[in-house]
Amino acid sequence: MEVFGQLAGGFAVALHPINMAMLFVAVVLGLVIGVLPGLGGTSGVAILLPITVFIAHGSLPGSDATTAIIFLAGIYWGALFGGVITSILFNIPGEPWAVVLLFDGFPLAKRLGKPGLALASSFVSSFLGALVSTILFTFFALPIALKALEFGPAELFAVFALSFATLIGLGAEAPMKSLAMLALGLLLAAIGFDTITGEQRLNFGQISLLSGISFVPVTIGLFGIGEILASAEEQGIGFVENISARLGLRDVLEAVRELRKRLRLVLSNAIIGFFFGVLPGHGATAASFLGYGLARQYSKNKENFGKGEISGIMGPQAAADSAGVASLVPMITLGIPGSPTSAVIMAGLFIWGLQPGPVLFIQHPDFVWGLIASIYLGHLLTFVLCLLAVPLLAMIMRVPYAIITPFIVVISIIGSYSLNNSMLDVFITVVFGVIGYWLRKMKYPLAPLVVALVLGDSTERELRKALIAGHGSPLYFFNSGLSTVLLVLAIVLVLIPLVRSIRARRRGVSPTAGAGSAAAHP
Amino acid sequence: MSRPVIRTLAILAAALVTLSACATANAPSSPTPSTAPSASATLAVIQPSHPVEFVISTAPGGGSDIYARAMATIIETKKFSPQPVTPLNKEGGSGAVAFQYVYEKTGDMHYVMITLNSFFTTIITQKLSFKATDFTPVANLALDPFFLWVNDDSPWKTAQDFIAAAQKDSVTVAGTGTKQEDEALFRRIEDTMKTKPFTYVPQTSGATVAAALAGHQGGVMATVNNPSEGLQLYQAKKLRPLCAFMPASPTTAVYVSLATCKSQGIAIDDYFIMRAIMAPPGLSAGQQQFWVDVFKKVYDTDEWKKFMSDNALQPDFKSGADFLQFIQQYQQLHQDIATKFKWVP
Amino acid sequence: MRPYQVATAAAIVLIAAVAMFDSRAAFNPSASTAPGDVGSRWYPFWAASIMGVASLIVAYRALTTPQAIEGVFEGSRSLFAVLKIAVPMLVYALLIGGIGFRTTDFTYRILPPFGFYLATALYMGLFAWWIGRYKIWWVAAITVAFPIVIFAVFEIGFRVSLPKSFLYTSGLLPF
Repeated sequence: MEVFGQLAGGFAVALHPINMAMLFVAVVLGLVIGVLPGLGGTSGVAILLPITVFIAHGSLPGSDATTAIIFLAGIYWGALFGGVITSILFNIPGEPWAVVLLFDGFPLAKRLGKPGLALASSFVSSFLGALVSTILFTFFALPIALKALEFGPAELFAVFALSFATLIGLGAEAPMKSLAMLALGLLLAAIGFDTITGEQRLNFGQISLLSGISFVPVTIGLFGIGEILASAEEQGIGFVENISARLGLRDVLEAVRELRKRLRLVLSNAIIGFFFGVLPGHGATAASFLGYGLARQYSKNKENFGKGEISGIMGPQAAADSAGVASLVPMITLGIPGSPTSAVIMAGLFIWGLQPGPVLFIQHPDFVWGLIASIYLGHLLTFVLCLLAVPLLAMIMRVPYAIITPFIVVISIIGSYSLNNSMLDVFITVVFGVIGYWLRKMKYPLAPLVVALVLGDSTERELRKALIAGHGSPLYFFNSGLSTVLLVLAIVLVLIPLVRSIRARRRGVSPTAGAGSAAAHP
Repeated sequence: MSRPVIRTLAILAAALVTLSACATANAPSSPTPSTAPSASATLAVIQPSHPVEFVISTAPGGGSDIYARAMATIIETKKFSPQPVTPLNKEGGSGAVAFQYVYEKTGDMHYVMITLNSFFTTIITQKLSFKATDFTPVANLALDPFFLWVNDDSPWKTAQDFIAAAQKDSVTVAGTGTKQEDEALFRRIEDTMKTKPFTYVPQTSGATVAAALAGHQGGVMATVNNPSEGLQLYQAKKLRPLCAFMPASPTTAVYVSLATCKSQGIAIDDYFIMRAIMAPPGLSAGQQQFWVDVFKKVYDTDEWKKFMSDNALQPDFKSGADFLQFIQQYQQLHQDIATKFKWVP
Repeated sequence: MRPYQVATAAAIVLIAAVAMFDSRAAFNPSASTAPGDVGSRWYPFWAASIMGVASLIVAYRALTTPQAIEGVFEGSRSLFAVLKIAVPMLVYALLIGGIGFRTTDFTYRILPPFGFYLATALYMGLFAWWIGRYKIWWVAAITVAFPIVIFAVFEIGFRVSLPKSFLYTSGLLPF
């Protein structure tokens, strides 16, 4: 097959000493950027863009545009892995796609005292997800990118509806409270500028609210700050350590064993993540939530989710990392970036004087295949570095309370400020920290709020775009086979638990005992 | 705040803008290439004293973000500024957040901002407390033309085919944002060619507009993407330009045989996206001159020239009185469209 | 628990009411609404009404089902433990940005902005001294070291600009 020859050529390019050296530097930088709050893959790549001009123009011996893209993409791979570390250790999402790891990653690390296992689980599933995605990238990049173009507003709306449907039942012990939180998330997502009519809404005349309430400062507050307040109360001020103090790679072996038990889930989520990543403008964050929903749907022990279930880490991680790799596909093949980070990498291509698109494959095969080969190598490198770092990272949990607590507040504030350079976001974080603490105390589930906040905006936009295109007819959603299938699937997913609970009630056993109030709680 | 105060402020701001514009007009139009404060014999150029924020009104990777980062990269690699110029994204509200942010930095030269036509449309439609003419104009570096695009399998071979179809039925079109430049151009076509009102589906970015057309998403039949936004899908044989809204055919190799829309009967050749630099209101003439010099040097580099031709941008450097006149003309043009199509309630 | 549950639900109902009032145009789409579109207020209006109804049900259930007798906090000690974290955090956030308000022609300052670095030094130092009860040189080391490391990584390493103090604008300090 022709592809293998090209891929071999790509490896020859990527294994060139200067390219390997830059790839190594890049993944280390990417890991640091991923771990640092507020510095995401997108801003990290953007900040280092000027340096790549020197690289692309041969300032380093033997470097060229291929070295430059290997460098930029390497930062992205590092950030994809590194972004989850603060989620798991501090309950602060380092990256948007790591938000979902707050649900199970942090509980596993803190409540169950297994930070090493939580980190290692995330890394092994990231690696496998990325590997699947890269293989798909190697063989089917162009046809899949062309197919993704046909995803119109109706199909995208169906995809979002399906994501919501898989997540129905999050916080099932208090359905009315979950519903209220879900609606609150939708409402918060609606604040600001309505992109369809260009009107302002729910901002009460404040220009600073026009850009809306971003979910990153909100989640940092709800989870990171909220957790600090909660643990301060729980333990009085005498902080008790319950973290397992093991050092070594035993956690990694355990994570691999856990992965083998969930191989089917991780592989299927990786494939779904790939298709999600290829869809322009959606990418890793939405994929991570869908991955979580699917992991939960197909799990036998749903009640463990939210309490440190390993599937709740591996499912979304495989999907998110796979989507991250896939977001480069439409950028390289068609010049349509699949994610903000790939958009910045595309800006790099322009600045180095290259045009993405199908012509790139013909004019610069070394560049394209060098990049593809470097995705394999970059992930392998990142994976090994991460696993070696697990024991070290797990030790962070043992820093004294009087230092770690203010430090988490400080990095929360850096994280929320530098997202948009706005003090308003800092106050949003602090205020939502108090709100999150209180809501948790009142037994309101926070997961539905976050999911709705992240997906709400795009869902509304695609719904209304479809309505405009269909001249107001809801039948428009059933015009294409794909959207019909996805919508029917979503409806079925919503109906199944409903039917089940009605049946259970008829039998006299209420599956939602104590629903709506905290009657049973002391 | 009382009305007289507002009026006084407005007059002051206008006076400042005029004053600084006059000062720029007096300055030699082509500054010498040396970095020393030598731009003008009469004008003491004032340099920034600490790092500068280069404010971008779109998200990373968005249209003007790419241009701003290209400029910032040139400024940094060629050391055109004694202080670092750091790009900073202030997205939201189709630019309103960035404009408000820079507006509040009145008199501070440590902020510059890249703007496009949303600088007019957003300020008109969003009831902001300031006008486009309140800001200190620096320079325009390029004009980004519009093409009329259709899907490669479209039955329309010429712009006339498109107009004939649009006069018969409402055609579904897509563009970036609502009440922004793409919609403005479609409304102008609607107005000049007396077509049926277009069904306008707003998208989030130029890239998604091109994708929507290539995939027939939601029945989209035409767009007015910029040449750079459509290039890759044109080469992939998914899109096809019908004509260019320019006075003469483009000079970029790929598009060289493309007809002007005017020659095909759509009499619009004066509408472009500006890629312009603005600074906060109330800069002194010396501060303004510093930025004019910096961006003139950027414009003169080979890197920027290559960037412009790669992206099929029309080179167009304007500063001083020329630029001010351009701003006023575009302000009026957008104001007219907004009034005509009831964009402002 | 009951009064707290009811009060929380009532607060959510209030938010829903405000949002529904702001979105009252849901039934009367504006001129800029494209044909076929439901308008900009439809979605927030219905989200708010769902939220309001759900919270009313929560409040009703809290009133009609038996509730735990104890309050929210187990004694004043745990309330104090929470305040001990929450109040310094709030002060810290205010110190960074300063307190002031702006009319179109003038900015009034009640508290000048201390910027990120000065505020962080004070905040980290306070914790080390008050909660950690460390020796004074350790407190001093933490106070100085953290801001310097953050400055080196963010401002110098990655050129990420964090909020600056009032002394920066007057050129007295590099942060």
